Amino acid sequence: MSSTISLPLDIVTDILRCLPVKSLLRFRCASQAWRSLIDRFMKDNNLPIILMGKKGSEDDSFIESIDIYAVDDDEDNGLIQIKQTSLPWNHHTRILGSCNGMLALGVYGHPKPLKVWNPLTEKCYTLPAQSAIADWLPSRDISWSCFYHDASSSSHKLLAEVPNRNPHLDDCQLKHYNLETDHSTTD
Amino acid sequence: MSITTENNEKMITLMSSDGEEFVVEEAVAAQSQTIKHLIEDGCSTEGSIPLPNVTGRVLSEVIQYCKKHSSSDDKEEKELEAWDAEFVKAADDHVALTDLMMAANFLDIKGLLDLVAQTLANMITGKSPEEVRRMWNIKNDFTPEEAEKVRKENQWAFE
Repeated sequence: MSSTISLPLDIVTDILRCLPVKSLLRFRCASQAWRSLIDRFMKDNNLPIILMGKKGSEDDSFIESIDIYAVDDDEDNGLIQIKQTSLPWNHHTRILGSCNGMLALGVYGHPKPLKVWNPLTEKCYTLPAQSAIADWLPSRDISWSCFYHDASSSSHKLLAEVPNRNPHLDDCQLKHYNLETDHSTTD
Repeated sequence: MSITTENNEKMITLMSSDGEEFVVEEAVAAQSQTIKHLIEDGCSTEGSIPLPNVTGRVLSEVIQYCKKHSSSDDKEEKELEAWDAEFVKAADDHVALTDLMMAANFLDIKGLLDLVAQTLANMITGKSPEEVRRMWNIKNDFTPEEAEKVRKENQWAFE
């Protein structure tokens, strides 16, 4: 049965607001207009997602694929898997941190060592080779790192503990890198 | 045209797109932000307020909702919820609900808009994209390749 009533796009969003994530994702197929509305809606509403990294095998030291889960009250365990995706580079990628659904990836031995990747949209931003981070990021010896959004300067930052090459100084130093301004500082 | 009832309520007249007139208390009509602004701008002093986007059938439903919601206070919340549930049930199918939603949107009645949106959302939650397209005459404007790609991106949602 075909209907004769159409739904104006300006009220579709009011209905989207009431739908569980699984239905939202399914209805991306309805039409181009619905897809862009739903994509914009999900972006604007910052739907909480959880990223889980998986290794290729037990003794692999690198993450190979990412499973994406959304919070969904309609599911028994409160989570629904919405996508499974592989990292854009097969080897030597280290996840330096995640923030707002994006992952900061360090790529060893690569002239462009830092990439920011959104596994949901699979969009990727690669930092230029000559960035201020290039001399310290490729190190395999970063003991820990964290990728975050600094609301006060509204920029994304990477914080990492990097071993000190100068033996007269402390073992490690904290490095801060601002992705928006390409500025690196040492604490 | 403003008239007053025995208990001193100010009345106004609303006219639907098909020329039907409804005389309602101003407080009831003012549940609609659109009408409230028209009243504030002095549009109701002469004759009736024309609502060219709303038919008489839909307008009478909207007025029912506004009457109920302007006469109830917070203590009756439970009862009001039950009334709302019956109200959307009476609208029966997605065509009537869509009409109601468009009216709630045009008249800017947030409570009614949310109520109908939730009802329509519940109706389509488990449906396929094909069923949703049929409900609202949505044209599938993807090429077969694009359609396959979008479907693959969210394969999980179809299982």
